[in-house]
Amino acid sequence: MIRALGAFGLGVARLTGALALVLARTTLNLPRLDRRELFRSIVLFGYRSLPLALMAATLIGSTVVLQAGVYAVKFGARLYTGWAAGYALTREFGPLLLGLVMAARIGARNAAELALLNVNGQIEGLRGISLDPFRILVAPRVVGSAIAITCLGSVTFLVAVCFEAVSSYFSLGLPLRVFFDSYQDMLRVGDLVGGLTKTLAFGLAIALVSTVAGLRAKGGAVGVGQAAASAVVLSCAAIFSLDLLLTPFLTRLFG
Amino acid sequence: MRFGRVDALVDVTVSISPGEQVLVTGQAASGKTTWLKCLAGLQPPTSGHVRWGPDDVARLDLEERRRRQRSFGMVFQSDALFDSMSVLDNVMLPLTKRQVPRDEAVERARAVLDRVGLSAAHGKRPEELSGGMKKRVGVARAIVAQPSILLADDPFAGLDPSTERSIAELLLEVSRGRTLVTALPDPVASLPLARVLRFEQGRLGSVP
Repeated sequence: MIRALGAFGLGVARLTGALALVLARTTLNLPRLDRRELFRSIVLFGYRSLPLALMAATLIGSTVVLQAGVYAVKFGARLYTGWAAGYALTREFGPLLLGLVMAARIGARNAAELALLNVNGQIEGLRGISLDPFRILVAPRVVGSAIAITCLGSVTFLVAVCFEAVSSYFSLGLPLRVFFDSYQDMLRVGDLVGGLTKTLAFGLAIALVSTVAGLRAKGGAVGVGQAAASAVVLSCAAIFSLDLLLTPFLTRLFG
Repeated sequence: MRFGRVDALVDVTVSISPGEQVLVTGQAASGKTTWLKCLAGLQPPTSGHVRWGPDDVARLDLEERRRRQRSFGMVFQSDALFDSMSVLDNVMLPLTKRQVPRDEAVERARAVLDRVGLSAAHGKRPEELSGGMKKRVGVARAIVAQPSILLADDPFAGLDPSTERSIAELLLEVSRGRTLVTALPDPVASLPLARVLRFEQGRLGSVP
């Protein structure tokens, strides 16, 4: 029991150390990132994830209104549906659900690719020709995936709110103008900034966790599979933990 | 040199002169690859020293170590090529990432690919090539930056005998005027190098 607890503690310490190291080295490499790999990462992780993000946005937006609408009608607050749905989406459900979807889409992919490069020797190969694999391969991926997830978050919020409005129109008979008036009157810039802050934090967490999972991979196909699975599980854990920490902090900051 | 509780290299003292051609043999897990990595400064030893000329590698600062590592070219057992890039881009990699102008990098990479007999494969992806051709690309990438020391880690792994002979000829040809250190499980007739070292469980053994 004590041995298991000790091993768990050591594992957590190693993971935390590895995350801090990747973050520090990425920050140090920011001025000299490999632009080609950065662009490739943004396209791969951002542009190619757009259909999934849009589909998630459509479903999240519609579901939030269908669920919130029941209570809005029950308590005679139909006119405030725009604000309530927008607030819930922007501050909580949007970043959280997008983060979870992207942990599976981007986190798994990044970890699997880095793991494959690691076990196939390409990362060592770069060192063998005296190039820094962190600057060329790793740092651009961390930055690229964080940028991609934040941009996807912005687009997703916009599309999700539009679908909330459409869903309110069909399910509650709420005119689009009324929905957007309530949204515009009551939702503050702080709510949007809070939502985007969470999205950026989740994006960075997914990027760091999946990178560490990929770089620690050992031993062929099994190692690659394990890296992808760890990336998803640890990214989800990081997202929930960050959500717990950021929610009271952002509420205090933006109200 | 230790990995956890395993002694990968024990009491290994080897001095290699410029231009020397060395073959390092030994069964799997005998310490050949670890020794090559130590030699190239890719793996710091847990105790002992690796010296490049008079300088202890561990005492060099990172920039200086990277600068001196450019004297090394390495051919890997697993090819270590990027399938997302063309053959030409793979070979150009050591040049483009060191800010060599693109036109010059293209010219040098093409010349090296022609030299290793891959004139027609410039635009192909590594996944479209045979094992022997990939190995040639690996050799081309290792020598494109004109290193003075060429390290080859099991360069014949997975190759048939005739391809093995052609890669051995290529290694001998491109290593003229360079130091060559090749690691192989057993000596092969096609690569008759002047000096042979044998590793046995991390120690230097006697050569029969």
